[in-house]
Parts: sequence; structure tokens; C-alpha cells
Amino acid sequence: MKTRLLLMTVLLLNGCSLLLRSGSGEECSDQLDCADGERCQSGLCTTNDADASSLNMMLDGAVYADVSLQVTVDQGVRTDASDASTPGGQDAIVPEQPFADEQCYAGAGGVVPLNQAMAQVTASLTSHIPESDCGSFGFVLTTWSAATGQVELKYVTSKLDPMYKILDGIEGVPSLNGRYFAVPRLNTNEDSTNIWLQDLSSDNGSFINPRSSRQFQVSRASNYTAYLQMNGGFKTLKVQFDDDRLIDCTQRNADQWGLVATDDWLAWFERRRGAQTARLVVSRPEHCGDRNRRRERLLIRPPLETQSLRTTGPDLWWISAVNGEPNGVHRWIHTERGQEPEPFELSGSGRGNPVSIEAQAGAIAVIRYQLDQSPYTLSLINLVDGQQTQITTGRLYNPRLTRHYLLWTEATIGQGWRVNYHALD
Amino acid sequence: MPWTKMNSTRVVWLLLFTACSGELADFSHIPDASVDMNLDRGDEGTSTTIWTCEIRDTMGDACIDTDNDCFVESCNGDIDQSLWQPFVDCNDQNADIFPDGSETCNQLDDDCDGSVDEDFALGDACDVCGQSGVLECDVNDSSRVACSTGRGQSGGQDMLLELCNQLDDDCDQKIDEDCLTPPIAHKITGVEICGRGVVLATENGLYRVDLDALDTEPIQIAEDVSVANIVCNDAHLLWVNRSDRLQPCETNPMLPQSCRGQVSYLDPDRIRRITGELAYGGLALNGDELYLHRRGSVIEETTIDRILLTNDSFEIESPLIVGSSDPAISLSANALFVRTWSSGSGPKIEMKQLDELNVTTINLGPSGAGRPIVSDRYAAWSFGQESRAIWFGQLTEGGQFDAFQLPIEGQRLEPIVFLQQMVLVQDIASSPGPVIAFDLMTGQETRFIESAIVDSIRVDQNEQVIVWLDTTDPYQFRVRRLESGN
Repeated sequence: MKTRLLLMTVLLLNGCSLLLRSGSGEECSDQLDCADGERCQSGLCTTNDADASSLNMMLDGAVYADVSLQVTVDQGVRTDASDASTPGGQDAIVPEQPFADEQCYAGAGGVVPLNQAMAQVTASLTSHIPESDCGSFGFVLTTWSAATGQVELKYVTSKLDPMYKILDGIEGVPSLNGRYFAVPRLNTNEDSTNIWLQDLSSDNGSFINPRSSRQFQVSRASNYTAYLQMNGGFKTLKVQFDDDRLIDCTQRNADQWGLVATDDWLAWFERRRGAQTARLVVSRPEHCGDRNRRRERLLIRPPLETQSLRTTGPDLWWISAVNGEPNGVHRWIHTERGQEPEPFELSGSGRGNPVSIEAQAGAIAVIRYQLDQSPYTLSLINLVDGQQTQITTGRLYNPRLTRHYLLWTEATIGQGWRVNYHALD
Repeated sequence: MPWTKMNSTRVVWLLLFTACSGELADFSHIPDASVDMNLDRGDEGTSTTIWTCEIRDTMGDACIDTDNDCFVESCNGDIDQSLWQPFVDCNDQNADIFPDGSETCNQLDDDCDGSVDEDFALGDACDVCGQSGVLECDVNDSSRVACSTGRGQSGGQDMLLELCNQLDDDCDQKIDEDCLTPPIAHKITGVEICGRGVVLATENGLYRVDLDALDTEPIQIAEDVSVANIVCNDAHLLWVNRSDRLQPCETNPMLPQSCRGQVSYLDPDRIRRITGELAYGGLALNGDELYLHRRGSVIEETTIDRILLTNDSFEIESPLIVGSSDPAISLSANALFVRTWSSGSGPKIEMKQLDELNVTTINLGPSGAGRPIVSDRYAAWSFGQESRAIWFGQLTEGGQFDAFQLPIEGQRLEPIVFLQQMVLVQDIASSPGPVIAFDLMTGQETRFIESAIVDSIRVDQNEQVIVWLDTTDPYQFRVRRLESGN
């Protein structure tokens, strides 16, 4: 009955906290725009009045179920998380940023160095397509190792001593944000893949929430990590805050995927098993499990399952795929009132079917496919002036935008993989 | 572990105090928070899989929980009602029904919220191939709804499969286009298109069905044989006649099967065995030329023979190629595609251009698993082991083969066949599973076949007829005729 008792407590707690706060009066389009303890009523954030119904409403069955879900996991994980010694608390002193200018590959001649000595050699054409990312605390690169037969993540944390440090057993795409990166990694203790969180500043790392269930597809914000975990045959979304709170975003009988995390909100795709349409869901990370506190839209055109959501900050980007039709690029400026998901026309010199997208700070990069001698085209689209630049054609994969670079991976038969970069400045 | 009344009361009051203080509660500091229930949590999650609980106070008073879901019907008098009232079960005869349960589409209030099937849009209008219907609980899957044109007829999976029922079940404007053929007496284990006929390997012999007369009874062409790896064209039909039908063929998820036996040839009046008994796989036929992959007695040594089938004679050129290759061979009009490997460089796909005297090898690129598929201009193969991608190569005007990864992702993808400007791809992680048609020109994907047994799809040389096996009926096979451009 622990769960139920805790549940009661949370309900009472929420109810009490509502009584203690006052409304901000800020404009809102839905609950997501309002602070904790407020609700969106007639376009304004208002305090939930201490009317007699408020507490009763909280004890209503539907709310009861959702909240209990959250509490169950919170409590269960709290103990485990402490065992994992996750780098949680933020240091009082802001650590030094060795790549404060986020110029990670300066002087590398357009190709990310692949080997230990930072030489520009190519990796053999393995089934893992390397990719790189750059931030103010360092840069990361994934490659397959012939020696171990595993995918390795190499990372550099010093400009003065740019030697790669290596994590083995990598099972997914790393997500770099500030001093941390998170990545799905083989956990031999659990005989599973779990999310590894690495602190580039202290060089400490650990599994944030080790489980025998497979964890995959991770997105890192500055103070939490969002990831997917298999649960009863469903892909379910979890949010692990650095202060050890774990939020379960699961919805019954629904798969969740394609997540992107920002400091203020979290977005993902969600589809009830058997449903024809998927939803695009946005919520504050701490409220992701509460169906009453999220912004969502039905997607008439289903999202391309292999591509996650992307964001430039205020807006979300994704690719849709309809049986037998060309794929489409879509945008939703969800932070602006009245905005709805819209198709985004890719004009300009590029051609082909969009198969991969990346977005960051006022720009998107799109890879399109069409069969000819250079089957893939990489284009960069400036969202401010609408200018579209065709970067290159060839056999191109894994576009990535950072503050100063557009990165992508190119396959060359006989020479292997090469991670290229294009300076944006 | 017993849940004592004293402990519970203390916990509740502590929580009430904490909650109304205006501070966020830290549940980790709640004393005795773990004494009341053993929940077999497994991995943390939402499903309450196995609950073992006992609700009893120190005086032995107990609550009644008939269905053992830890939600109670009532408790005896000495237990404070406020403690158990929130946990009253709305149905104490069914362990799957309790507050907080999962609502499934079953005409029951599974989650005790007073509503039945409230998460499903039952009764909403829907459309099945132009016929209006309503959404009902899927009779095969209580987690979903299906569109039903008649009350109680819903069945989600069936709606997607074409059945021979004079209806357009899969909504493609065609009726019965994937009709099953007349059943034969033995389970079908393999299928191959040979000219205008379909040759069927069964548990007990070989049968032929005329593609232009599918409603006629299959003709038995060889009886009491155990057949594997059929190859054929208009003029020739060969297979591996398994020496011991009880001994399974060598199967490996990474490779086509290899079966021990003798290669047999069907003459008009008899069956001729043209090789000795060895492990064979990867038979390929080009006109009168048979290419035959056989495994040698030495590890890492295999041989590919070429046998000329003319005028009732068999001219054997052996060995044509010796080396470390898998039975994964395929043949285009003028080249043999072989998956080879070495301990140093791993597997790769090689194109071996053949003339009368020489074999010229071109390395197309690394390979992961499975058999390459080829056409006159194209080749495709899977790349990777557990997580596979599809690589595609095209012959350029300069005689080079350019290869790249197609933008299709899946778990264990295998290319099946080229069909017009498409490549058919199947995720063999699930068998039977759907077949995806990827348009090589535009990059568009279409779900082509809902459910086919892995490695059972065959296309005729004119790319107009497709046959395959599914699990609906092992005594029949499916046929689809393609119109030009469709």
C-alpha cells in the first residue's frame, strides 16, 4: 500500500500547494504556459481557487491514475539512483569551459580527426556510421572499433591536450549539452543497454538509472536527461533530473519516441497501440506524465519513425512519411499562441525526398534522396532570411548543427567513413 | 510483510502534515514507507504485474481481497475506514480490474473510473474501402479498435489482408488479388517461379502449378523427395535432394540455408542426380549454366562450380572459384555476386565478372549478412549484424559499381528482390512480417505485403507475378499479379 499512501499524499500535497499560491495573470494558450499551481482559464493563468471542488477534483479517478503513475516510479528510482552515484548536483563554481568559443575542429581542414592522435584518417566502412558533436566543454565522436568489435565514443575535453578519451559499448547516438553528454551504453551488470551520463568537466560518468530493461534514444537538457525505456513491449519515456527525481511519462498502451529535450520543455511523438494517428506532445519535463498538463496535436501525416524531433529553440521540426507519397518537412512554432503544425516547403536548388533533418538556432539542415550518381543532397536553410544553400552531394548521413558548424558523415567506397564539417561563420 | 495499523496511521499523518506545510514532500524520508507492501517491481514502470500483499493489523483484523489485486472489497471493523477506503476495488472478482488499471477495449470498466472503454473512440464513423462502418473493439486485440461494416465483425489484421472472398479487403481497388491457390495435400516448404509455372516444395515431393490456370489441381512432378534450394527457368529445374529429411538443413540467421544432399535435375521422364552428396547452398541458374556453391571439407574453403546443362549432358567446370565464400550467391546476366569473407577484413560482397576463361573480381564493399540480390544494373545487400542497413549498388556507364546506404532503417533488414524500380525489403526480425517496397528513384516507401514468411517471396522474370507463403494456410501459397507501373 506504500504506493497508494504516497499517492494520497501527493494529491493532498498538490491540493495544499495550490491553495498557497497566487495566479500570475499571464496570457496562456493552454496549461503548459502556466506555472505550477496555476491553470489556463480564458486565456489567462489563474490560481486554482480554494473552491470546494478543487480537492475533490484531485481525487477524481482519472487524475488519481495519472499521478499515481508518476509517484510509483519516483519512489522506486530514488533508492537506485543514489546507488548509481549519478553526477547530480550542480557545482557552485562554474567550471572552466575549454571550448568556450565552441570551435572544436579549428584547423582540421573540414574533416573531424578520427584517430587517437587526431589524424585525419578515415574509418573503414562499417555498419556504424560515425558522427560527431561539439560543445563548450568538448566534442564527441562515435566510431566502430575493429579491435573490440564495439562502437566507441571518443571525446576530447582539452584544447591544449586534444587526445581522445574512449568509452566502449556504445549503443546509440550521444546527446551533448553543456558539460554533460548522455548516451545509450552496454551495461554488463544489467545485461542491457542503459543511459550513461558523462561529465566532461570532472570526467566522471555513470549509468543514471541502471535497469535490465533496454534504454535507448536519449536527449540531454542542462539539468535533466530524457530517454526511452522498453516496458511491457512499449517504448516509454522517462525524465531523470540531476537532482535524482525521476518522472515517468508513460501513457497506457502507448508508444513514445522521437524525443527532444530543452531546458524549458520536452517534446515527443506518442501513439496508442493500434491507433492510426500519432500525436506530437509537448510538456514541461516535470509534468510529462500528466495528461492534463501537456500540449499535444494529432499528426495527420505520420512522422518518419526513424527520425526524432528537432528544435531550433522556439519551434519543432520533423519529417512525415505517408505510404507511397514523398516525405514532408513540418514545423510547429508551439511557443507562439495560435500557431499550429504546418508543412514547410523546401524550395531552392536541392531535390529529392527528405530523409534526414537537423535544426539549431535559426537554421535547419536537410538531407534529401534521389537516385543518381550523387544520391544525397545536403542543404542548409537559414530561417531568418529564407536563404537555402546546397552544401554538398554524395553519400551523406547524420547531419548535425552546432553553434559554428554543420557536420555530416560521408561514405566513400574504398576509403571508408569521413565526418565532415562546414563552418557556419 | 504485514501492514500494521499503527505504522500506517503514523505514515498518513506525517504525510498530511508535510503536504500542507507548503513544502515539497521528500518521500525518501518517510519512515516505514516500505513495510506495507511487497511489489514485485521488476523494472520500474507502470504495469502492476505481480502484487503480493497482505492487509492485516496487529489484532489479526483483515481486509477482503478476493482477487488478490491488492484492492479490497472491504475491511473488518477495527481497521480505520479512512485507511482502506481509497483502495476499494470496483470488481473484486477480477484481478485485472482495479483503480489505476489499464483500460482495454472489452466492454468492462478496467480502471474503476466509472466509464467503460473510455479511451477508445467506439462508435465513431470509419470507412472500409468505401463502405461506411463504425469503430468497434478489435475482436483479436483488446488494445485497439477496428473498423467494422457490420456489428461484431471487426478484426484489425484481417482488414489489411486480401482474402479470397469477393471483397477488396486491403482497399487497393482490387478484389482477391492475393488469392490463395487450391490446397494440396502436403505442407508447402518452398516456392519458386519457373517460366509460366510455380514449383512447390512440399513435405512429400515436388508439385507444379500453372500460373495461367491457378484454379487447377497442382501436378506432382516428383514424389517422395525432400527438396531444398530449388532453381529453375523455362528449360531446367534443379534442386538439392536432401539425403536425410529428418536432419534439418543448416540454417543461420546470417546466411541462406545450406542443405546436405545431392543436386537433382528433372528430365522429362526421370530425375537425375548430377553430383555427389555434400552440403549445398546458393544454387544459381543463368540460361544453361548452373552455378553451384558447395562447402569443402576444409574449414574456410568453399567451391563454386559451373555446370553446363546442354543436350542431356553435364559439363562440369570445377572448381570455377575456390575461396572463403558463403552460400550467399546470386547471379545477374553476366556476373556472379558472392558474399566472401576473411578473418582479417570481414565479410564483403564481390562481383565476379565471368567470361569463358577468366573470372574478374570487383570488390563492391563490406557486407553484413544474407544473400545479395541482383538485377542487370543493380545489386543490394544487407550490412551489419543485429542492426542492419541496406546497401545498394548500381553499375555505372564506366563499368564501376557505386554503392551507398539506402535511407531505410529497421532492425534486421534484408533485401528480397528488385521489382521494376523498387527494391522489396523485409525486416526478418519478425517472421512472418511485412514487406516494404522502397522506390529507388524517389525514396518513397510503401507497405507492399502485409505478412510473408521470410525468404519465400519470388518474382517472375517479367516482374509481373509475385508468389509467397504466409502462415494463414501452409497448404496454399499466395499470388499477386502486377500491372505495368503498379
